[in-house]
Amino acid sequence: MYFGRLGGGFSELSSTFKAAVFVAAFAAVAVTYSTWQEQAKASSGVIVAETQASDVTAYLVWPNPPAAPGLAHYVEHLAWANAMGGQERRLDNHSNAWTSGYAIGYWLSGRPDDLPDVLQQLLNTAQPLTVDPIFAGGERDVLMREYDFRLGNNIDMQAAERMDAFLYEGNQIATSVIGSRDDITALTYDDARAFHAKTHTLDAATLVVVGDVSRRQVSRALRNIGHPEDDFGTAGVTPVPFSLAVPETAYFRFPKENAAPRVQFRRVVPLDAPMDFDLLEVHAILLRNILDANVPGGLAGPLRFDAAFARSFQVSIWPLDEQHVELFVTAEPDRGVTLKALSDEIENVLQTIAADGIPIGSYRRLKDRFEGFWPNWTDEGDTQSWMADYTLERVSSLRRPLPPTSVRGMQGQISAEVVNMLMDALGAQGRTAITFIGPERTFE
Amino acid sequence: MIRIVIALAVSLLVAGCQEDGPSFSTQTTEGEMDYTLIQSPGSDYISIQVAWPTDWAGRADVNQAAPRTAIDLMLAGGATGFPPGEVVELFADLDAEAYLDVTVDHVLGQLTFPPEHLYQVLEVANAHLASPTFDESWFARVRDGFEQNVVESRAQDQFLAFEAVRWAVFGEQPIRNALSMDEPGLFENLKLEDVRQWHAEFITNAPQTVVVVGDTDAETAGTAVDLLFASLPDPGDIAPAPFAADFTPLRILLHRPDAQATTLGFVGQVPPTRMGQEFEDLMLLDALGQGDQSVLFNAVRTELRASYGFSVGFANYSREDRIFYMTGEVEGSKLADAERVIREAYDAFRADGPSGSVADRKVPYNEYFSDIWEYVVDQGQMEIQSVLDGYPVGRSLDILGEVESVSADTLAERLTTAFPPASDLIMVAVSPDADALPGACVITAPQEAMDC
Repeated sequence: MYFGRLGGGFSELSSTFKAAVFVAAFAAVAVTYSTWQEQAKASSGVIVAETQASDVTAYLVWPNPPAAPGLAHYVEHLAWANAMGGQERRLDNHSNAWTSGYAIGYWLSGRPDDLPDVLQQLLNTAQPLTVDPIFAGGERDVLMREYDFRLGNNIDMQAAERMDAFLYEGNQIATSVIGSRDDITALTYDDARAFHAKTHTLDAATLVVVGDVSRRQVSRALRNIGHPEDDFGTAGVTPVPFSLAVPETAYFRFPKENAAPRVQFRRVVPLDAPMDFDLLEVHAILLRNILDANVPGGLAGPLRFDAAFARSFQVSIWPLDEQHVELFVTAEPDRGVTLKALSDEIENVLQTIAADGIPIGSYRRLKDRFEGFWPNWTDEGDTQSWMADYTLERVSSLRRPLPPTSVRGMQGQISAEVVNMLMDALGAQGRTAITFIGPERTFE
Repeated sequence: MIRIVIALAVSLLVAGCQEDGPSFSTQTTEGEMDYTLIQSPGSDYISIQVAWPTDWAGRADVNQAAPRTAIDLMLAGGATGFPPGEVVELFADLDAEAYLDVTVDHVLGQLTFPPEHLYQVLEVANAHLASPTFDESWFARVRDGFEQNVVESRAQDQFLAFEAVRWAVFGEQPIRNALSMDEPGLFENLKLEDVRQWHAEFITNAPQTVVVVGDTDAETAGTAVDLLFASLPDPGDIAPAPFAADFTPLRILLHRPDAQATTLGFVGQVPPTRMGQEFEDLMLLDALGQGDQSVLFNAVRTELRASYGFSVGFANYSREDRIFYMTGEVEGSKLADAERVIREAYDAFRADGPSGSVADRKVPYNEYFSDIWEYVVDQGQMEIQSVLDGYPVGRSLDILGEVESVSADTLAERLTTAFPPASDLIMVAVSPDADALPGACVITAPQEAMDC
């Protein structure tokens, strides 16, 4: 059906509603209709999520240890080409790969009947790299084009790279995943092969299979291709701990005449004591919702509605580990407000909210709306979908997903005290990165 | 009086539909407004979709930034009795969502809410349609933000490439400015009065089409529709006219000495969606450019090693002027090779058709549409766009039938009749090297494409 917009996208790229939907659908099928099963053995590196979807999708995830910038990403490209490139696949065998600061992952989808072939081809990413050296050299050029695509004209991504390096100093996630142009140029096939051999071993892998297959079918398929379940994850996958560098505030400036002026305000703070990661994340999201709202204890009133500092803003909060939380506020100033004045006001408002605490009325109002965060536990499909998303997210960050009963149990453990504890922590200086983007005259 | 014009059991129309599946009917409210009702059992929300006709984009004597500014201001700036800072939280408490969009041909409205909050939600929504506050300070805020986003977007190479194509296709016609927002002084000249004029002309009690989707009856749905349009003014004269689109093939190189990357794009005209065979189009585009097994991925990345990936898609300048495009960033030194390789790969695809089984290509579509009626917003959007294209009411409930009708023959036929040969495409590149494409029409600003 028709889809078109006036001026809203300015590019045909943003008007590909249907195409975009279906591209997404390819990737999301398994997530949307999947089922999380609690039958996973605690020590197993294999997780099966049974669904009624027509496709089955297998994900293979490895930890991404410290390495030169861009190297893991280069290896991901080569290993994917090694396993998938030049191989005959059915049209509905879709595949892709990703690299993050925590993990390297690959996925391949296909029909349930093809599960052994899907698994075999996916596991080929663990085979020693044998692509032609000329191809491997050419892949560096492709990485350079990817750099152009992701960072070349994207000032927000360029800013994120700088802020990550500062905020996460001393931690592996401070290292750029894609690297700089110089980093990409310096990558070698020998280094890639060595890194691949070190990292892409089944004992370090977690395999997640989502689709219309049972655990028994997955186990049988793995045995049939010579890789029984016990091969996976025996080395034990553990979350990457975070260590906060000294509290400090740094300003980053990206002057660009044609850029819409905006502030990016990021802060990482420690908590007094560690707490369960899942419960911490839930409280972080609830606090985020409160700050986003025009309620007492929110940012929207002081910044946007009661005063004219920001014509718009967005806020996110997430845990980095069990004892560190990150806040990210990006805001666009109202006319006549400098980016420095806006960032100062964000700081002032955060301090005020932390000092005053979140009013209980605001907490209760937003907690009522928070019901929408959870799946409808009486709706099996909704629950399956939610749990599949959650499972893949956890595995991708090298964490063990909780079973549905434990997730559901968290709903009764949310408290105003923890929300206020988080807000109090975010009011401290922590390690703060503030970026100004826009015409330089708008900075101060 | 509720008048049921058509009522069909959709189990006759939807393959595999359960007895408690969706059904459609054409209804008239007590206020004498016609609308389509899609009853979807079990839905937790009601969604109302509205399309008002507009001819603003064809007018030369109006400010083309007014429509989008107006809808953003209507959504954000509050209404009589509902200050902006309060209503946003009230709507969130009511678990409701409202959305406005504008195209060359229509203003599109979408309101979604739980049935138990119907009266409160409709009161808020009607106030925002009938009596938005249109406060000067909020107007300035919305206009500034819109302008800043346009300025930033128009500094991007890929946006400039498409802007150049619009100059080539539409020249000085107002629609070009409506799509690109590129007229000098557009935002400086935009006044609140422009926004008021646009609102008064098009947000009326005479929408072209209304669709209601949800687990509700005609009486409730009709009440909701009447409440939504209460006290809106009668329409004036709206006279949409076709635009003169010139898709004469061109080879354009936009020289940008400071460009950080080299961008290559192709645009071709394809038939409007009202002429059907959309699923053929989508499956062909999948084969051409979606995923790592596509024609373009193989040609430009796997073989030529010149690009990270090449995007493909459809877009609508207007309902009648629909295009498909191929675009991506390529290695500067391989620009000419990339142009040649893409043209050859595209023509070969056009001649040979997509590889593999058609059944495999249908899988994601069948999966996607098999339960779409459970999603009231998606179902409503499909239905209203279908009706605006002139199809019979209820077509959106038979969409799986259209997927099923796709065959190797219809795909092959569609490729040759709907997709122009490579020689008929408009090609545009953005490069720091003015000599990167021998024989191309070299320009330094998008508007110069009009003279290529």
